[in-house]
Amino acid sequence: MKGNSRDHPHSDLERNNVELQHAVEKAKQIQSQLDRQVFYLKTLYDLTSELSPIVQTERLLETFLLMTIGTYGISQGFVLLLNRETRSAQVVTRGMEKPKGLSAEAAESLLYQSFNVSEDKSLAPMTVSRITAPELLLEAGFDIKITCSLMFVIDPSLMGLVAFGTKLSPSPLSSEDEGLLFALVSNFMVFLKTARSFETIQTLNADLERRNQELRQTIAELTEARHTITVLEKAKNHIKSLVQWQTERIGRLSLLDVILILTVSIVVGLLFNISSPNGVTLLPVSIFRQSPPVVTVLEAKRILDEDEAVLVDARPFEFYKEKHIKEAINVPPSLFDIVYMMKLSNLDPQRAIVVYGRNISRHYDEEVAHRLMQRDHQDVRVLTGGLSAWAKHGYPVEQ
Amino acid sequence: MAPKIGNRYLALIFRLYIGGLFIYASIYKINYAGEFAETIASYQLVPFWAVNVLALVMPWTELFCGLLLVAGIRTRSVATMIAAMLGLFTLALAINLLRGAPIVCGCFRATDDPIGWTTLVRDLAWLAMTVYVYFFDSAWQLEKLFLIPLEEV
Repeated sequence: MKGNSRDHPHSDLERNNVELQHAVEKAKQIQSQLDRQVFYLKTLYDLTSELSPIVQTERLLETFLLMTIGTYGISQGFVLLLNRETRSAQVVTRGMEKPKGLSAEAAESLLYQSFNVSEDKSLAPMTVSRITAPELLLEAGFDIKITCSLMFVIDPSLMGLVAFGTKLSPSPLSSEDEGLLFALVSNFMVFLKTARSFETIQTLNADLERRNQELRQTIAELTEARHTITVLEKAKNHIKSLVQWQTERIGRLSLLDVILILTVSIVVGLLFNISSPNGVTLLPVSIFRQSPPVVTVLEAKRILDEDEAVLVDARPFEFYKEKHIKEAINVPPSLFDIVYMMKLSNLDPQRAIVVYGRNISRHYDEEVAHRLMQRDHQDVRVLTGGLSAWAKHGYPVEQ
Repeated sequence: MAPKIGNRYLALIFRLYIGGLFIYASIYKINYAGEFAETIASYQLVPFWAVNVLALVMPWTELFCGLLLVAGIRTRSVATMIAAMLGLFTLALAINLLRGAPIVCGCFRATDDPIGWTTLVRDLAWLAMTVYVYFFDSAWQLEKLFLIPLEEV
C-alpha cells in the first residue's frame, strides 16, 4: 500500500491541483454572483433612496427612468402612466421624442393592446408583466428600438408601460438584469402608489381648504345677515312703537299737536302778513315814537277853564258816546282826517290841545296827539290818567 | 271707542259744524288783520303790544283748527284748542258784558252786531258742541284711513 502510494504521488497532486482549480473557479463564480447580487442590491437601494423623498408623480417618472437607463447603460427609454380616474396620461422619455398627441384615450387603447400581448395577462394590483409583442409601441408613435418592455398595474385605475431601447454596450440584458428590472419596476410602483396617495391627500387638503374657505365665507355672511336681521328687527320695533305711539296719540290730547299747530299758525300768519296788502305792524308804532308831552288833570282843568285849550277825546265813538269829559271833541284815530277837517281845521296852531283816551289795548291819545303835531299844532299834550283820573277829581263828565 | 251715552254721528255733525264755523270765521280776519286788531283792542283785555301779533296768529290758528277738525285729524287736540279759544272768547264777552262796553262781537267780521247775552249763550253752545266732539267723535276721521293697523306692523 505504502509503495503504491509512493508510486502515484504525482498523480494525486495533479488531481488535487485540478480539484483546487475547480474550487477556485467555483469560488470565482460565486464571487462574481455575489458581486452581481451586491450590485443589484445596491442599485435597488440607490433607486429606493432616490425615489423615497419624491412625492410628485412627474418627478418620480423622470427619476426612475433616468436611474434605470443609467444602471443598464441604455440609450433610450420611456415611461407611460395612465390614470383612469382623472382620465390623464403622463409620458416621460429619455433619448427619444415624445409621441405627439397621445391622449388619455389613445394611452388606454395602447395599454389594452399591451395587456392582450402581456405574458401574465393579469390586472392584479402591483403586478409587472413582460410585453411579448413590443411592435405595437412603435405603431403607437414611440420611436424606439425596444430591448425590453413591461406593463405594470398599480391598481385598476392606475397602470402604465416601461420600455427600454438598446444598451450602449453590445451585451444583451441577462435574465438577472431582467429580474432586477422587474424588481426596480415593482419598487417604482410602490412609490407611484405612495405619490398618488400623497396627491390624493393634497387634492383632498385643497378641497378641504376650499371648503373651509367657503365655510368661513358662509359664516361671515351668516354673521352679516344676523347683524342685518338685528338692525332690521330694531328698525321694525322702532317703526312699530312709532306707529303705536301715533295711534295712541290720535285718541288723546297731545301737547305736541297743540305746539305744532300754534307754531305753524305763527309762521304762516307772519309770512302772510308780510305779503298781504292789508298787513299790520307786529308792534304798535307808538312804542318806537317819542311820547308827546303830558299834562296833569289839574293843569288841564285850569287851561280848559281859561279857554286856552281844546279837549280831544281820542277813543272810538262808541266809548265817547258812552261817557266823555264835558265839551270834549271826539276825534278817533280811524276817522281822524275827516273829523279833523270838520272840527279842528280852523283851530289856531298855537292853541293848546289836550288829548285823552287810552286803555290796556290801545293808546288812542298818543296816536291822535302825534297826528295833531304832524298838522303843525305846537302845543299838544296828553292828559295823564285820562278820563278816569278826570272823573276821580270830580270834574264834569257827560254820559 | 265712544262711550255708549254719546252718538258718534251727532259728534260728527258737531265736528263738521264747528270746524266749518272756524274756517268761515277765520277768512275775513286773515284778510283784514287791521280790523281784527281793532276788535281785539275793543275788548280791552290784551296788552297793547300784543294786539297786532294776536290779530295775525289767531285767525290762522282758527283756520288750521277748523280744517283739521273737519278732516278728522288729531281731533282731540284740535277740539281742545277750539274749546280753549271759545272759552277765552266767552270769558272776554262776559267781562265786557259786565263792564257794559259798547263793542261788537267781531266773531266773523268787524261790523257784527253789538255783543249781548245771546252772543254769550251762542258761544257757550258752541263750546258745549266742541266738548261733545272731544268725548264722542270717532266717525269718518281721515287720519284713521291712512294709519297702518298695528297687526300689520
